[in-house]
Amino acid sequence: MTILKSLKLGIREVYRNFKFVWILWAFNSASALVVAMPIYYLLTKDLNFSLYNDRLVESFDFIWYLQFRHQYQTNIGEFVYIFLAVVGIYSLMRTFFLGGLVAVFNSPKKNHTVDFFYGGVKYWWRFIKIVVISLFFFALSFGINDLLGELIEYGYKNSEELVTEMVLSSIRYLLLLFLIGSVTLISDYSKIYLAIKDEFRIFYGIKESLKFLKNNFTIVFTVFFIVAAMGAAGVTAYNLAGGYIPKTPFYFLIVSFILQQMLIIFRLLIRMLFCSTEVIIFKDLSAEMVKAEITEEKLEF
Amino acid sequence: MRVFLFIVSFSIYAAFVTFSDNNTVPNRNDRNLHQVELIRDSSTAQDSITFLAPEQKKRTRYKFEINLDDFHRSLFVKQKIIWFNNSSDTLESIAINMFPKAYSDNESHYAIAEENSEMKISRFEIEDIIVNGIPHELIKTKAYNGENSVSTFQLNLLKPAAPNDSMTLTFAYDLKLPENSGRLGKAADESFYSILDWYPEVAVYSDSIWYSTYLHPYAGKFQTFSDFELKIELPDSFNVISSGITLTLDSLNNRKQVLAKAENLKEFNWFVINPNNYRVRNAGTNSIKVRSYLHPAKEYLFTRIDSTVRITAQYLKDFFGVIPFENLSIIDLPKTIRLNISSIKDVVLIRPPLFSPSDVHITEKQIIKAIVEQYMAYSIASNEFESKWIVDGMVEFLTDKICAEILKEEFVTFDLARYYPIYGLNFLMYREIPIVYNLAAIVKTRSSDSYQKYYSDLYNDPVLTKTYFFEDREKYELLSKAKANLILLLIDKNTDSEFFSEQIKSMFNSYSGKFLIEQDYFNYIDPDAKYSSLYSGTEIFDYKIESVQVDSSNYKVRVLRLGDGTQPIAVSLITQTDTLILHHSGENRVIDFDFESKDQAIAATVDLETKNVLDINFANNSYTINEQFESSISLAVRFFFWIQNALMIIGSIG
Repeated sequence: MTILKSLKLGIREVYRNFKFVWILWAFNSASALVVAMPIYYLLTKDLNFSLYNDRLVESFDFIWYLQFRHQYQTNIGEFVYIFLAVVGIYSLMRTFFLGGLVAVFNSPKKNHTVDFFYGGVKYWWRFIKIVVISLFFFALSFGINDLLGELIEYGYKNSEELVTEMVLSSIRYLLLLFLIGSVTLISDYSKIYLAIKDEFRIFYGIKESLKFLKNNFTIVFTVFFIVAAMGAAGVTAYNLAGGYIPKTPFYFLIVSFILQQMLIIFRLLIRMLFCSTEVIIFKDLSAEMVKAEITEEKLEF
Repeated sequence: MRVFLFIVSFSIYAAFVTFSDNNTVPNRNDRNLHQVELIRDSSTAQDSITFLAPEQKKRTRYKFEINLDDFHRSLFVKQKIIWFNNSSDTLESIAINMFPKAYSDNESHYAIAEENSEMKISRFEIEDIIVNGIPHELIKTKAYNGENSVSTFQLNLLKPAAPNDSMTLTFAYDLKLPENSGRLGKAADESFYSILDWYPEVAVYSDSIWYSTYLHPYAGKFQTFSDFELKIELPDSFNVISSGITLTLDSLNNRKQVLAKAENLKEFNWFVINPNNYRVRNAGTNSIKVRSYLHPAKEYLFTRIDSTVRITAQYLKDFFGVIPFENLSIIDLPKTIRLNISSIKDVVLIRPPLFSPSDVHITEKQIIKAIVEQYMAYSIASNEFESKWIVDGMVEFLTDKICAEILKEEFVTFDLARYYPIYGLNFLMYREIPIVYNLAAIVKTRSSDSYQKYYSDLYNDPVLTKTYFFEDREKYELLSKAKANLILLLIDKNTDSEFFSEQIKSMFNSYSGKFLIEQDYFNYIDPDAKYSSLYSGTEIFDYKIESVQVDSSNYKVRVLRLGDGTQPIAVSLITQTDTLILHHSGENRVIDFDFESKDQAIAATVDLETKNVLDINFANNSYTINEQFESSISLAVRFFFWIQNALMIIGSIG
């Protein structure tokens, strides 16, 4: 299995199972709607009968923003908690969907919607255990990042080496990104191991996936990196294109909304691509080699 | 040309030698005084400096001989004060403010507020106090506001001072400079000394009261104008940057002597820097010489700094008619100095970030503010211990006005990973990593920083509260700076702007070099006494158009007063062809206005031009006949998208 081949096969699998992106998108949108609707209510209350409506259609007004934030500070304070609650529920459901995706990518012929949901139900509890363990390591990564930050601050407390301090501080964030990426990678492959090998022993699954990652680090990491880079390229393209969409007249909002949702769908597809390439690589590189022996036998008639 | 320069240089030196005492600085050989090196441009000769309307008569004169011991991080000072009794009273004592004591005692107001650790505590050892040749003793007293203080003292005179008498006070003291305590001390990287509030001064005597004040963490001081002369001996590797003129003499044994002189100054503060740690650039115009000291990593800011100084000085010269400085030093403060002032006389202190895009204006604003302070804070005296809002409000107002007029649009940014400015709004951040944010070019409105501070805590004390009473720095920043600025903006918007500018100019010209009290200030800023209550009041303003009822050609507009503040209001009915206006005192909680128009009305408004900048909600100042959804949908859609993205990022964890 080469890097290029795994990417090709991964994209093909995502294309074949494109219908599932609508489920993911619908759930993402519904979750976002739960948080956005209260804000929409506040905005209608504040602006629907105000001349500020016209002003804000033309351009963003910073003083209005400051006043709005102050005026509804209690509601906005509550919004943070609603958001965190939604994030929690979203994580649980996303784990469910991941189980479905692993199931359909594992058995390409069984890619009906019912198979997707069956996989979700089948693997959810195992995957949640992995999520809980990985959350600990995410927290650890942030802890390391904080400690490094304090170390840099302490080391440069009495120094005017501003550039060195800035560079070290930036490297600290790159290291955080690397740690998050590594935990995600281990978590993903552990889930895939548990699903494909139909294994229930969580720590054994993590151990085996670590072994797998150690043995195949180059291809696994390169594919992961390329897919991540594709995602980043999509975001950059959106930001470039989004800047050129005029704010007025009002119907340009529809163009802007379509572009935004295209980006969300693209990011969900990238998420699917991570999953499909990981399943393909794991299945291919962990397959047992069957030796074929040729023996000569004389057939007597 | 060389001959001319030599003559000018020699004249300056001669003037210094004549002006200064014959006393020698400790451990200093007189022979070294004969070779003078002019570090500033020769055009800054003493007689060419025009001080602004100084009160030349009987200003207190301070003379210092200072030895800076870098190894022991201490100053040994011989100080002479020639003080004149300008009052009509015969005085039996003189009040002395021992500001350096504030750094050497954990119980001082300053130390308590700044939570000084032992390393940041100074030591102030006074040896001799001699008045007119006779040793005297200092007696500790309370500050004039009745509070106990570690730094307020009085000298009981053996021979009372009659009106117009002069007294010569001589002190000798050791001042151990602390480590990086902000206003007084040495930066941790050893390259910079900040020497502020470092000498005993005679308190102000007015209305038969000695105004003894202590050093306060954010209130200013109560000082009048004096003259200063200093001889400073210090290691050769350091430069002195101060108010007034400095001359560097030849060095001997790795030490050099610097002469400094400033007239008509409220206080003398100085900095000592190691120029090797900086990139130094000389620039300026025909009338101003600018020397900038920047951290090597911020060298790219030189051009922007020069340009900002040039444009601002020209703007203020056109506005006030004068430039109150000829030499301006600009210092990029070391990271390890916690100094929270933006200037001293003739010196601009900046803290530009490593990445400072030109359309974010952080550096430019710091410079403009410091230059405005040269006019408002150092040319006019006021009781800044009690009424710092007079200076602060005006400085903020003029800074914002100049920024709005001479700088390009300023954009809103937030910092990614502490160092990298990103254009847009940040709503939710974790460990300097933005989670819910918007990338966009959002233009900052004038005075938006003041608005932001004002909205952060609306229920507050009046601006007129004595500055030293504010319970913390946040309150001080909010009331003395932000709200005082917004009140001036309100006055500007509600009066003829040109007239208001003229009033500010007249105030400056009448009081530069003089003492300004609150009543004088109000006489200029608010001659009709229409807005003074905004300074003394705590009211919150919020008028709202509650509804517009339409009955054929009759329109009933209901206005609610939601805040406790009242102001005369003008309610307008905007029709397709005209705008009808009705006026009201604005005192009622609910007011109905009846309009009649054959044209179809579009909206009703109160304070259409948002002239009352203290109104906390501009959006409810208008009410449209037809409901509109564009902006609420547009903003909600954007918000929806940000949440979708945030869920993709955080929700995918695990």
